[in-house]
Amino acid sequence: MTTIKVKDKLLSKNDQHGLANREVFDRHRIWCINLISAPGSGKTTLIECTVDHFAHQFNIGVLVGDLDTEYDSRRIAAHGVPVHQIITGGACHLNARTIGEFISHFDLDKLEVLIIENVGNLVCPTSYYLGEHHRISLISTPEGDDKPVKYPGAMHTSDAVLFTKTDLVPYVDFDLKTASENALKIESSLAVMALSAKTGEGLEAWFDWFESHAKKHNTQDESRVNK
Amino acid sequence: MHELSIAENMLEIIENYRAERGFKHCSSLTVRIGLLSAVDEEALRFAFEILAEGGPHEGVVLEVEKTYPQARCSCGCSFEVTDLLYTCPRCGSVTAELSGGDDLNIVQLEVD
Repeated sequence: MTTIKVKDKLLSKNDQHGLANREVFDRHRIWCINLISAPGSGKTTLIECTVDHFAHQFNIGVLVGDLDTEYDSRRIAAHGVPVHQIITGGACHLNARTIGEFISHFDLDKLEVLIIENVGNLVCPTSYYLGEHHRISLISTPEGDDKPVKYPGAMHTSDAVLFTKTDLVPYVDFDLKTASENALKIESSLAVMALSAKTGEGLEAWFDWFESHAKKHNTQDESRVNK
Repeated sequence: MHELSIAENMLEIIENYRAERGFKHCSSLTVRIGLLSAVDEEALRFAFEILAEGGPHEGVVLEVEKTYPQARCSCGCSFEVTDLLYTCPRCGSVTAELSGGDDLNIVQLEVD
């Protein structure tokens, strides 16, 4: 009997594809974000108001993952941005290899921001790095203020958490202070925001966060060509 | 559900080492799973068993080592987090800076 000591990271093949995507994004100075949440937390609605808000400021492209249908990509395409739907056919998360195949569908020299809307699932997508610069988790208020500690993987791997649908707070048991504490318990460096895409409450903070990161990324290398 | 692709990856890694080291049989595989890794041990065991069935690695014993994050509170206290609803044992703070506890690795293979 022999013992072989190893140091293999599981899912490292996905990470390699993720790093290859990251290299493409950096070469083209594209800021890429990955939105993850449970189904129905408001990812598509947030994307719709974000692309509208920045319509004259950034060239934004969107990749949308769903188990089936092109509903979400049609909704987003109506806002005049390039969008591609990834139908996973049952897979519960997007993987880096698929993203690598789909990014070639965009005009990468023009693109400044790529938003990836992951499949609605707050578990599996957390283990799959897609090459994004920032990961954002959405938790809607009806899901409960204890959700961050129930899904620690999502909090741990995210850079920001957005508590969405704040207009529903009067009707559901959700305390924003508790929710924020529960998120910061897992990841003390998280940016925490609360908003309602329906009423517009809190959207400014999100737009500021988005703008400052996108600008920082797009201007990091002044020698960039074709922009 | 992603435990299935993790289990698939575990079998691939065993196969890669078999090709590299030329052993005949792997008797056990040790993996390290952190509290923050979003991997369910039971689902992983189930997926591994199903995928290995009927193949060269059927019956490989899966050993799971669990790891936990280390918390550092602003009051200076450090402690291990085994329950995410923790409070600092010294000052009672409900938040702290966590590090580690997000492992998702293969640690060793027992082969002959």
